[in-house]
Amino acid sequence: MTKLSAKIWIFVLATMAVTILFMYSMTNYLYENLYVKDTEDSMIEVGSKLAQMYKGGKVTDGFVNDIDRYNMYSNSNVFAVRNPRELSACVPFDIDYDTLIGPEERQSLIKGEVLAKKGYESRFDRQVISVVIPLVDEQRLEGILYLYFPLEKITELASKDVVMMIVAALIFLILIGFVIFKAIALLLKPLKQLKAAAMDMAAGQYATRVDIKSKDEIGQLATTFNEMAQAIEDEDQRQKQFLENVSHELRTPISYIKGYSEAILSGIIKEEEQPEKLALIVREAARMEKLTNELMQLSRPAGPQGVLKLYPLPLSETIREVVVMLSQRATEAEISIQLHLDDEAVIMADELKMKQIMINLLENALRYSDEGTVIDVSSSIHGEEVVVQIVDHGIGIPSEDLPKVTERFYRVNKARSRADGGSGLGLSIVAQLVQAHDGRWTIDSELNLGTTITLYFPIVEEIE
Amino acid sequence: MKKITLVGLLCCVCILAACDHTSYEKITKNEDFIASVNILQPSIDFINTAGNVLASWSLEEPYTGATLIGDDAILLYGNQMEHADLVRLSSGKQLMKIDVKRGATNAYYNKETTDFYITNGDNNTVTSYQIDGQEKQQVVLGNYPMAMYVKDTHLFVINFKDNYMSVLNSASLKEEKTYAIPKSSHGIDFVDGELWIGGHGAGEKPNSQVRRMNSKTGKIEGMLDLPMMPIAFASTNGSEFVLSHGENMLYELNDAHEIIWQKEIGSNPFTIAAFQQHIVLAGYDDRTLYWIKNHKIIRKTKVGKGPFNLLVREGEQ
Repeated sequence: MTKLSAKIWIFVLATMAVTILFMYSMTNYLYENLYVKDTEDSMIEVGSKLAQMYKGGKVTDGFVNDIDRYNMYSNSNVFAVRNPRELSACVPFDIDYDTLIGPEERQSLIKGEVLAKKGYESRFDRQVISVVIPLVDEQRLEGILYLYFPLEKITELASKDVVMMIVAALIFLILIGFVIFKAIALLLKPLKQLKAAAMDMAAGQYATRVDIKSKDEIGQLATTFNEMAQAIEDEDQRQKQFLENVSHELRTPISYIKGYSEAILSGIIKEEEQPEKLALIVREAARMEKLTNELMQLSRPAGPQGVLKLYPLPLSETIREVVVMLSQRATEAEISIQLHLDDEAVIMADELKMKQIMINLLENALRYSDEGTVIDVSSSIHGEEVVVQIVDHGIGIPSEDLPKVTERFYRVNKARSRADGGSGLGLSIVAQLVQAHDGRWTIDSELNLGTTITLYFPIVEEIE
Repeated sequence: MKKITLVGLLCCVCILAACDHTSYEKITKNEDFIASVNILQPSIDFINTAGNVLASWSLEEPYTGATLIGDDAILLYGNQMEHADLVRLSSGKQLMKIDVKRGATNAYYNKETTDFYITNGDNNTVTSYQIDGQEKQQVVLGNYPMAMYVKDTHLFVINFKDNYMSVLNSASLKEEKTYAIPKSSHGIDFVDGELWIGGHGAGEKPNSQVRRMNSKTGKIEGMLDLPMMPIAFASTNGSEFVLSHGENMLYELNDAHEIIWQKEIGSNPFTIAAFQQHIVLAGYDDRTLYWIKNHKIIRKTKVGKGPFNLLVREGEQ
């Protein structure tokens, strides 16, 4: 019993069977409590009215005849009893006779109480509802009116056709079982489709989609499944693209290194030109090293230990150190870097990683700025945040490229950046590290006017 | 320590004495009374000649009947009990406990011999006892012996569920003869040398007749129509009274056995007795004793639940 459809089918069928049983007992209950009670009440009413004809004294033949005559037209059976034997009058004696009323009932009747009974009455050899109305005069039980109605239980009624009823119930259950089976199969069809699609996905067919139009839970599941499939397919695509990029990025320096070293070995390159070519080989090897380092950095943003070493860091100091490191390159490119730093800005940061962020950003700014321009680096405190801004007046980034600049190996100007030593991974690494420091950042750029990068980090409150 | 032991011992004796000897309210010697034995909630009410209740004994055990033994004792028995108790009236103390078999239906005191008899409906026996409770004789009779009457040296016993009655020697209990009677017969009296037998009637059909029989032969002398279910007799002032419990009817018959008066009295009465020139009738359902004199109910006395038997103690007039 592993199939959901079978479980649902059995559940529904069992529920139906329980419902049938419940309806049966409910009907029985209603029968007992409404029909029986109603019959009893009406018999008490009729009996009490008939008893009003009794005017005291002995129960006369006339009275008995009147009751008999009424009985001929009555729904229930009624008769008058005046035989003291039947009324348990001799009860202190050991009577070998089955009286109509018992000694306790007699005591109740003498007090004028009306009796109502339900059950088997041997005298009538059947289940009856009976009502006994006393005819009492001066504390003497002169007689009784005995009314009874055959109590044909529903089971008794049904027992006549019990085989037919059972067969009908069985046929009904079989039919309804078949209908439910079909209905469940129809309802669960989309689930089957989903299962097949999931298996296709598992087999690597990421383009698989399910075609389910319904809006119910299964429809929603199908939509979610399709979204998931799309995400997996996209991710797969990105992975492929990434591998393609990595191999492409590695191939260029490798082909340089391979080409020149082969040329040197085979003597194609003259001896006096060799140092220049060797320098080229070294440069390309350094680029490969940088690339692989950055790839490693991307795969493990927190470093080999896996955690950032955070401590309160005076940000201005770090920025100044980075600027000093890059001042040589700035001078070569005839670009000046101007600082407007707030020395109060302290953030929780890993110093090395923070330097990496600043280096990547400033290298980019230097790389894409024209000679003679200025790069402004500022830091300030805005509320709970430290804001760092790097503004260059370089070539800028086309607005359509802006959302993609953090993608790995994405280059706005592929030829130029590669020639400038850019790997295409710098901003990806920045994005990762900023996030690791609980910060955020924005890039605003206008083509040919320059780029503004703004970083936000949570401030460290000074400990008083 | 000795003191404590003594007190403890005394307590034990008291408790044991209390257990063993149920004591009832005393009935003054020589005071005439009529006692109603009530069986729905076992009790006995003793009523004096003025109609006042002398004492009411509430009975702890399931006694179903009682009979006076001599002038100062009462025998209490129960159909489902295995002992009968003899209680002295003047002291209210139990005289003795008599072991009997379960199934006692009736007890009867023979003034002549001072023996008493207990019939048993389970074993179908009658057993005679001396006044001191010593068992004398036992014989097996017909089915369910109950009503008894002693005349001369004969003990007449009606077998309630059988179709004959037994005539025994009152001393030896030797069965002398049997007379054919209908089933469910009850009530015996001797009227003018005749044996009168009443009854309920067997099965569904109620009996409405008293059969007059020759006491020596059992021959039917005649039938008296006294509807319905005549079962009790009493005579006073030369008149014979018959109680028919099926119609709550009390009949007075003259010497010619004709009905000279009849009246519906009480609710489901089972017994009547003559007391101080009255006929006293006990209504079982309305728990009332009716005192009748000169065709009038002159007094009603409320008694316990289900008065079934009347016992009379009267000094010699």
